[in-house]
Amino acid sequence: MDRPDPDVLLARVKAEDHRGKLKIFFGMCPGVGKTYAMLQEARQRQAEGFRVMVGVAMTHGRPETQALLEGLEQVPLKKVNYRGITLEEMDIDEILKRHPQLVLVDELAHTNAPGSRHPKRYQDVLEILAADIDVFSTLNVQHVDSRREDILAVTRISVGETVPDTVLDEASEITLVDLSPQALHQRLAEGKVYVPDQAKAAAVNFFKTENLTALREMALRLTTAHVNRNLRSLMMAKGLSGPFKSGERILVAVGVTPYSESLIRMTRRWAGMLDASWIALHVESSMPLSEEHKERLMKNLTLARQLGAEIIHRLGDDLAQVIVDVANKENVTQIICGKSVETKWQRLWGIPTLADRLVELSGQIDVHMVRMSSVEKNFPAKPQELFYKLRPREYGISFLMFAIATVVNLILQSWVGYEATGLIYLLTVVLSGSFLGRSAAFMLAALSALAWDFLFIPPKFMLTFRSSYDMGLLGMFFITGLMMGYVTSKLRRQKEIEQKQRQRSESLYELTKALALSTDITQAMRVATAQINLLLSSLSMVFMLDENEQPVFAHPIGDVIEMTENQKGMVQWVAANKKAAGRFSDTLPQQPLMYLPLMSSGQVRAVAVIKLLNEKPLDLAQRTLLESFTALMTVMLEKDQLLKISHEAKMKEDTQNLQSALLDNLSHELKTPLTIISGYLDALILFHQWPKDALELLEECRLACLRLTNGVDAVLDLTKLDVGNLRPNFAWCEVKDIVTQALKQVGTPADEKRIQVDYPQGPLYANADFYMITQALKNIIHNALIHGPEGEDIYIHVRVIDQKIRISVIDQGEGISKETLNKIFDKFYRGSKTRKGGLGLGLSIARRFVQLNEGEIEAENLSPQGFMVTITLPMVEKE
Amino acid sequence: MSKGTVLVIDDEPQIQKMLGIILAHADYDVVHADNGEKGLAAVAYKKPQAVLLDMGLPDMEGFDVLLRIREFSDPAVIVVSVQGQEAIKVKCLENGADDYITKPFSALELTARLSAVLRRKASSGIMEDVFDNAGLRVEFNSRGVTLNGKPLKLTSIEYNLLSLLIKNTGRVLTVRQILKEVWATDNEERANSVRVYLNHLRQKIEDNPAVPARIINEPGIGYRFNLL
Repeated sequence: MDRPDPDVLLARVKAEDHRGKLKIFFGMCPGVGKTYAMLQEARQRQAEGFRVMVGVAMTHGRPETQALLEGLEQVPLKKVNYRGITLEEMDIDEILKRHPQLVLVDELAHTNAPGSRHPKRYQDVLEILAADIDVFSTLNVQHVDSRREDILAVTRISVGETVPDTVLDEASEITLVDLSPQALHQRLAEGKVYVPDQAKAAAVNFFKTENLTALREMALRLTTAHVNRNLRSLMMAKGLSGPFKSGERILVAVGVTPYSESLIRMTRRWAGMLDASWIALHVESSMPLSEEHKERLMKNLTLARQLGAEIIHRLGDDLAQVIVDVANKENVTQIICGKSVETKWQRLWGIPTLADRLVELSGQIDVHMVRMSSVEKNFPAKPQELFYKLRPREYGISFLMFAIATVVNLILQSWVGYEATGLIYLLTVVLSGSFLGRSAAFMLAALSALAWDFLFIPPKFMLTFRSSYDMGLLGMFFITGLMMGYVTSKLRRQKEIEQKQRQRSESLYELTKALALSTDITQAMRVATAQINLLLSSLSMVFMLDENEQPVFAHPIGDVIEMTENQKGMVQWVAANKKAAGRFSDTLPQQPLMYLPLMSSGQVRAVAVIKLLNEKPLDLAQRTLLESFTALMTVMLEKDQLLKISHEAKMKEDTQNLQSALLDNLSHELKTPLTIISGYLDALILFHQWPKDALELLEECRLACLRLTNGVDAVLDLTKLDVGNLRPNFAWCEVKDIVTQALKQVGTPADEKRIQVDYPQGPLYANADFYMITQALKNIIHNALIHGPEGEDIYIHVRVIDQKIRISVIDQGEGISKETLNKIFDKFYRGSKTRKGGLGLGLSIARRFVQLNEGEIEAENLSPQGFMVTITLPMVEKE
Repeated sequence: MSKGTVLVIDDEPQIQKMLGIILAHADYDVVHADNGEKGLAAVAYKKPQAVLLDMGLPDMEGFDVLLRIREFSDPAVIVVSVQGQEAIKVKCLENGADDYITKPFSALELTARLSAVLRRKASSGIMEDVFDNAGLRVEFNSRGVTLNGKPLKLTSIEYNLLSLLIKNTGRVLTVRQILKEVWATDNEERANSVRVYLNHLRQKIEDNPAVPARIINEPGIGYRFNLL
């Protein structure tokens, strides 16, 4: 493909137009001089004339760094009180208010004090960038999210504060501040590297040469990767074909294990390398998850989202099949999967692992296996854990069933044979499978087998057999029992999944139906909030945005939740920043309310506010459904918007048609009497003999008639202009034709003025509406004839300057004062010394006609004498 | 001696009366009709040589009256309208109207247009072998063109344009009509090339190209070839 990818171009334009640029000063570890380098460059920018401010800079008291701060405007830090300790944080509101061109924000990975607007400083930075302010920031390689494990492996230090890789992607420039480990050691010895007191011991370990070498290499690699990416997007934007664009799409399945986390990070790195989009898929099975697992799953999914994955959620028990289905549907080219730990048991029975199944099903799609580290191997795989997990209630029920069956058998055994009692046990196992878990059913099968042999199969009260027939019978019983227990419990689980799915689609269907039936957007939103309340047991309301993209607080739709001014401010923030805020979001998550933007075509149309009535966090199903609900609401809003637009367009068209008809009528009514008067005057003058003085009177009448006609034309033109009913009919117009026609319409001047025209050689074309430009020029010439001194000539100059046609009309008058120069194009403006009539409309009409034709009009005094009005029109470059 | 019958279709009695006086003075017989239906009947029964058709009739669109006249009869039709109705004028000219006149008009302008239209009607179909007017001479058989005795080099398109204009001397040709005749296309996007070629032609045949006298631009409508 040689053509530039339009998305990339668009992204570039967007990024360049509306967002500030982020530059990161990147280092291998603290002490390499990032802050110093940042301040130096900032000073240089300031010297170049940029408005630079310091949001926050950690100089750690180093004098040479401190000195660089001199002369830079510093935004005072905000004092935050947290549990009696006063912490200082960057004041983002003040920065946005002062709105510099460039702001310095040290330590990108910093975690803000609790209660700040965002939990993380990089989120502050993203908001500043969104406000079209450039940002310089600093970052160490150990704080890059996707490198976290490598760091752990190298330094044995677990890093708490990390920055998602997407923030690095956002950076338009990453500058590596490099220092050799030896030089760093020297600085360390000189006490030039800031190390917090409590970390002194760890620091010794951290700054070991082999660690530093590894970190340095990592930092270098990351910077190079970023440069490559930049180069790639540059090449694509410039339409150069690069070998890079991969079109790859990667899928990774996300589960509850910590192993998933490293799989996610690994996929993100892989995707970054391939420049591919990626999907994190979670398949929810019928097995209920423990609270701990739910939390870890949530964490894994959040991580994936932060790292830039698209999250997909599906239900199903056949993991491999669901993964491959989703992969096919989403055009995935590569699936990343962990190398499964094959148990001895699985190997023995030849049961395929997930990886085996994926390879078998995947067809065209590549499957990559990633090995697990030893730590991760110790974490039990999900099904096994659940298999062994004790659920006392289920086992209790299972045992109770066994007891009842045994009692019944003991009673019945004198009437029926021991074979029949076996069948009763079997029935119990099948029954248990239909409402108990697999493990409980298995236990029941085992117990039953033992009891049957011990209590009923002769010889009674012994675990031995009388014949091989009985032994076979018991064997068959045991196998059948296990099978039945397994099959029925599986069937039950499938039914449960189906039911869950049905519930989900039913509630979506309910909403869709209700939305389709609602007559207006207000009702639709009300229905939607009611459905959300049902889903989340919450109160919720929607604020629509007005034309100025401000929430209409006076008319909330849905429940009425009392809101403080701050909370209203949150709604405005969501509307302006197009991001969710409040609970479960990145912005002010400690807030009790949820604020969700309802966006369509990149524009926020409304903001939903949700107040949960209980403290429980949302589960995955609720979250996905809520997302579907808001998506539906957005569709409704978009539909409503389109409807409004088409309605407005139709209204406008109707009004314009009506206005056209009225204007036509008006024109006809005014022109008809004029035609009659001038016709009769003609007849009188031509067909009759008059004394000389009488003839003069008649001629005067005819002149007056002509003036009246011009006046009527002017008023009609102006009316059409005012109602916006006049659209230029663009065509190539020869400038000579325009001038000739305008002169013809002006007629012969009454006094002795002559009009001299001066053209360049050859034809000249302007792309304009002939009528409008002719009228404009006629009005200007007319004006010159009225205001120019009697007997003096008028000049019309046509010139081409800078591919523009300039038509100037020059008279020899005194011109006008500077103050009134820009007023002469105003409606009804008339010069103070106007000798002759005129409505004061001519030049105003001329300007509006010229502007409609994408031209310009200007007036200037000439020295020593004269007045010039010039029309400038774009020239057509023919052939 | 009457120069022919002129039908005036206009609903204003004063206009009818005024046109009656002017046309009678110019030796035409005048017939009036105050709406479209009556006008059509008059065309059928009185068989006028020319029709002055107003665009603002009470009962039907002037354009529809024109179409219905052209269904059964062939008088010269001059469309009477006000300024700003260029689109309607173009539509009429392309559908059989012979000329147009804009209100308010002078008596001399009206009678001049009328006689020009009638003269053209009378001579239509008769094509002279040689056109000669004020120094411009075109010999159609040999495709030779001279200006003041000097031979002109015209491209084939310029020659076709010129001969089309001469054939329609005095008549307004819309840009679309010219496109159709010379370029054999309906593609409006080529309209600008018509304008460019006409100006090439002007450079060659006008005595003073800065003040064109032969090829006249009618704003918003098209071009008219005038005799000098």
